[in-house]
Amino acid sequence: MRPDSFELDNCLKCSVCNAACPVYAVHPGYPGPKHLGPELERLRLEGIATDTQWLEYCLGCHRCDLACPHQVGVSEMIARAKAHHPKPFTRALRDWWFARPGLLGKLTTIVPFVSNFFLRLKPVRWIMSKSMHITPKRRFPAYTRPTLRSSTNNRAERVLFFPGCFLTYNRPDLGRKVLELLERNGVAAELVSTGCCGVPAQANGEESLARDQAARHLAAMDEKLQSGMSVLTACASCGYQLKSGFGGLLAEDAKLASAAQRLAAQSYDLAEFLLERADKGKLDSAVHPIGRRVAYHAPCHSNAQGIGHPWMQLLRQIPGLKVEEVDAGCCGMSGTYGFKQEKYDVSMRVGQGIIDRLHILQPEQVATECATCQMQIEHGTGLPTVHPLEILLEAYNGEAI
Amino acid sequence: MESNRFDLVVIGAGIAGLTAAALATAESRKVALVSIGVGSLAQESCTMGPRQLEALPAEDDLDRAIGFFQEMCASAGCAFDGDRAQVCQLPTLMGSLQPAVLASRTVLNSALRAEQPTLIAGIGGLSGFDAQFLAEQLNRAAHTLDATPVFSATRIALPIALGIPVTAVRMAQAFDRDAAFRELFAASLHSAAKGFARVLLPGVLGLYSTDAQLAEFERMAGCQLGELPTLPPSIPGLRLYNRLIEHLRAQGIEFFAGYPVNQLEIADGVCTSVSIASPGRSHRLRAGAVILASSVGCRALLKGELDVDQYQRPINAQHVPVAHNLFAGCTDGKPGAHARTPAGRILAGYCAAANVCARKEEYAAR
Amino acid sequence: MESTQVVIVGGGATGAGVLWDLTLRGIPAMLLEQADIANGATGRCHGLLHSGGRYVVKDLETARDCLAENRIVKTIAAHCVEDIGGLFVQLPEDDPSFFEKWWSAAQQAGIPSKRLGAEEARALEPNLAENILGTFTCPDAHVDVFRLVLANVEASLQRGAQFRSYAQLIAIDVHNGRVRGVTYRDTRSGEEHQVACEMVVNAAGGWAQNVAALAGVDAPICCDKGTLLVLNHRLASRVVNRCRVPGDADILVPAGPVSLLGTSSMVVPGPDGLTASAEEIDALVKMGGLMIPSLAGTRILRTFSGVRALYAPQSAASGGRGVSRSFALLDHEQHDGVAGFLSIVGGKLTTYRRMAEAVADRVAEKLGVQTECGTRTTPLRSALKPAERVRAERLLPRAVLDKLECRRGPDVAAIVAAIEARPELAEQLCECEMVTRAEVEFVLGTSAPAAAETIADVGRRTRLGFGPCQGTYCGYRTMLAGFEMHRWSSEQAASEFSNYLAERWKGQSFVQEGQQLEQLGLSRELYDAQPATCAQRGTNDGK
Repeated sequence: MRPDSFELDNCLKCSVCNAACPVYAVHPGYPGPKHLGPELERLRLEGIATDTQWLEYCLGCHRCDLACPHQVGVSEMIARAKAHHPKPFTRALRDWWFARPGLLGKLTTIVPFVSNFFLRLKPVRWIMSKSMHITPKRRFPAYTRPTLRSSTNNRAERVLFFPGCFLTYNRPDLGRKVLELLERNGVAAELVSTGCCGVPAQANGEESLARDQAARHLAAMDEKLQSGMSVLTACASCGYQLKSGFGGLLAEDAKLASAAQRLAAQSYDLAEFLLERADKGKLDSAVHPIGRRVAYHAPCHSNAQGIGHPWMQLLRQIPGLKVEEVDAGCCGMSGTYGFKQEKYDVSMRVGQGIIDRLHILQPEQVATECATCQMQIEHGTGLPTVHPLEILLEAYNGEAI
Repeated sequence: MESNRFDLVVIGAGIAGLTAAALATAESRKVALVSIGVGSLAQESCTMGPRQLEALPAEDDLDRAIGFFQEMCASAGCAFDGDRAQVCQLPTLMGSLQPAVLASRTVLNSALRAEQPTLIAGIGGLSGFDAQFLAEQLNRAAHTLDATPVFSATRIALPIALGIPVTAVRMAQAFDRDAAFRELFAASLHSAAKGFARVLLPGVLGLYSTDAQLAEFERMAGCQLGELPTLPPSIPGLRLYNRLIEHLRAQGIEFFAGYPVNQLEIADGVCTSVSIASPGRSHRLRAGAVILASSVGCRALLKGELDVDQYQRPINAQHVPVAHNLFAGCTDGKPGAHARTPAGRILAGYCAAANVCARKEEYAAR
Repeated sequence: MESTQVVIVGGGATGAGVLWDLTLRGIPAMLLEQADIANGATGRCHGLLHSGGRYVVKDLETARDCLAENRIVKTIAAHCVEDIGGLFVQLPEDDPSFFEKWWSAAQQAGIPSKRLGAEEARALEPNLAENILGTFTCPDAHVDVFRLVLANVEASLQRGAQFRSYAQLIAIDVHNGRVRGVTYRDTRSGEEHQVACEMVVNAAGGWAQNVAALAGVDAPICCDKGTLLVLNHRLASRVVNRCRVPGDADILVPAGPVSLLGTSSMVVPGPDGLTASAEEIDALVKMGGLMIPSLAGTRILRTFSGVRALYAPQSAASGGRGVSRSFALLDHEQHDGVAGFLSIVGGKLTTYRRMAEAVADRVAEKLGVQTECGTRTTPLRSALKPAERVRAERLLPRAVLDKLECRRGPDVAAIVAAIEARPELAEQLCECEMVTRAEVEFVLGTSAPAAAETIADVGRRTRLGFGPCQGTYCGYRTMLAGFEMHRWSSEQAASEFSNYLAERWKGQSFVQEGQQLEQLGLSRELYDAQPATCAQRGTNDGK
């Protein structure tokens, strides 16, 4: 029995979490976060067999946590339950790979051209669909050689930069843009290359893997953290994980737990960091106008960081840019979730709100800082979707990307 | 750029906080609204009874506050109807009747109307609602008020599978998302409502629907619709919350949702910032003025009895304000008491914001 | 005029046990209970099935009895027992010589026990205080008291016995020094009924003296009150006892998804009008917190108080824990010249069957029945057939079905058939304890054995409303279910719910702050606006 930590006792059964849950809204069979979280948790503590396949359908979007008026850590309870949830072999095999995007990235980028080619072949996708229930309806993002390196400039201010698997193996060019953006503002970034943040591992029920990953990151960063360095992320999920997830996983190891707290206290979302510099007058304000209508979608893991919408505030400083918020719920992709065949329909139904809203807004471009939100929006609407930092850099450089 | 710097930070997004934030925005202040969650609107849709209003001080302020609140709700597309002079009887969860003067439009539509035959429509498979029970109880209650019993009951089936049981939340979510669902629902109501000018339903008509959308739905259903209370969560309550938040955000309010405030930074009698307990590191909002419009927040942050001065600023044992720019939007003017009724809360939020707005330079973001 | 051979007064464990014992011997019997099953001490205790460890140092005899009965109950009523084992923990402030005495006494009594160090103890139970010195294991268990009493009653009803709830005894007809009948009043309808009988067994616990008085005799008892707290979740997976001379707040019992902490001890004038003071509750939390520190922050769902009715033959000057916990069988023919009247007083839950056996032996002797006691080995309930279980698995999630099977056993077949006919009956009316509508309709059905009359009765039979919301949601849904199945009219239904809420609220009324206060506030806001529709019923807090 684990010492209490999820504020289980705070639950008043008000069901507001169910009202906020995107999966509950679209799938009549899904029992909802209230049941999968605090209700089953009391019974888990009783030792009753409460496992259910519905645990897999939780998106991990944290909307339940944010909606709860009584501070119940609903999604954390569900995540822990996922760790004890057995799956049939084919799904377990698939989820084993999905839990390890770092490993997947390493292998596919040995010869990326070949990997990308195969991952696009219809017969290959058919086999993946039959053997591992990976939906053929989505395109995998292209992989490329992991060429991202630390800043070489020896500027006054140094930060750590945690790129995450997507920037490492799919978009190192975007990672370089992060470095460019920072260098332009007097900051040199040192790359943290210890692998995956652990969100995919946790989402796929591999708690001990996520714990190992966390321990590895902390070992690599702790000395620098103790000297006061900040850690930046440009991916909303990595950002949320560093700010909070580690702490939950490592509660039983006092030393690691305090290291995780240190990391959490010194983690910044890129936009959050830039905005703070702006407040101190240290942000380069020489931006060229961009006459464009952009729709900004706030990823769920961004909302979960509780820092407002710093990307939107930054973009609104660009003259000529008209930024409207999409504000239509979760996109439904949730990292690896949307690639799972049995969850594809749920994923698309969840994201329908955003798709509909974008049809009404008709923006020229969509901006969102989460890679998989980007994939889902492009998949559902065909609209060009970029990371907001690309627009900011474009404004700095005065030229289109 | 001056992110995270606000003229006013309102803590608590219940109706007190929403009212306060709306008033300050209407007076062109830069406002941030911080909240951990929905609050009492999740449980009930904030109907106001005559006794609530009578119990409050400051008649003129109350009129202005209520008027402002009603205007705000109307602009947000979720009208809060009623007239202080006209008391009506609203059905409760147990089928008794409770006097009310103001309520959300669909809720007020369920008021007892003498001589008007009213159909209560239950929905097949919907958990926790029984039209027959309510009809019998309400007829009995009407009888004790010397009114003719007018309620009858029916049950409509919903052709779309929404699980077992169907919950009000799911129905409301389907109502929001699915046009086909609304059509089928309206058609069922249409055939059930033959001969009745008004049908009362459990509150399931969407978590985000606007007045216009509901009016359209009524047109499709061919009758006026009223929403009856259900077990929590209150769908009309959540709808009011959602619509007001959307409205306020469109007006430029920054909304920080999901995490509590863990600290008020007070130095030299001035509250300079509000810290939100966001993951990892507290998120600090610099504030020209702060309104504490959360009774939970008041208890946690002020620790101890809540006494206020004539401007609604919390004061210590020496009757000195805790901070000259810190206001309590959670007291209805009686010392030590948290505003307990919806009307009290609106008054509290309104007055606190009015006090802030009265001194523009003093309480501007620094 | 009804008739039977033996009327038993008091629907607690003892009375129900006597009903079963007599039924197995073929003696027609009727059990009368003034409220619902387990209304007295049985329904207001920890539900601890002692291994004997608690008595082993002071009273070896009782300890041995407990151990024997512990094993028997686990066999005959397996579905009522959570065989989780227990610990006796040693705290630094406790007498170390007691700890050693316990160990040797336990060996003497034959209690299977292992001696563990602090590290091992905390490995088993991470929530134990860091400063415990060591622990002994023992075969303690938790027994669901309502399920146990119900099991005895239902098994008896199946074999032709009779049971009346809400039946208050108002007269015992003694003619020429011999019992020949009783009169009881149906407390819900007000009707009076007469029952002709040869014998009356007074198993009324805290009310034993009142019942004895109706026959003009004495059953002297001393009422010792104990208060318990129900905590929102399971803080330990085993029973946790404090290894010291029995005192306050030294037992924590996991009971389904909640934990029960108790208890206290103070002499009170009688079994009615019990209240728990704020000081009492604070003291319990503080003391219990010495064993399990996280208790201090755990949500308390409700408090309840009950009396131990202890046999006190002299004027009850001393009381409380000093009085023996063994029982006394009073044969009023011998003592007082009233033939056909027996009183059974004292005792404890764990040895209920043994007490019932003693009573039934005497009754059989007096009635000239030769049959021996059969309760030691006869299971109280048969098992659900595997084929039926498979059929049920198609309709209900496993956790729900496991609980349902535990509560209802072979009745699951009928309940599942009902769900097959009407799928909406799979709805969980109580989500905290996973009670389906089908089950609620089953226990409310007038043809059900020992049918529920009120919503609280439904709660006792299904655990509905025992969770965090304390009936706020599920009570309402149960009211509607009772209405829809025509068990209650709308007016009756509303009145039932009003009474139910009043009782539930009282048990939460101690709370000065915290989560339960908010839950209570929510409940009051939802329902308190309702005009009172029925007079308040009784003053006893129920479990």
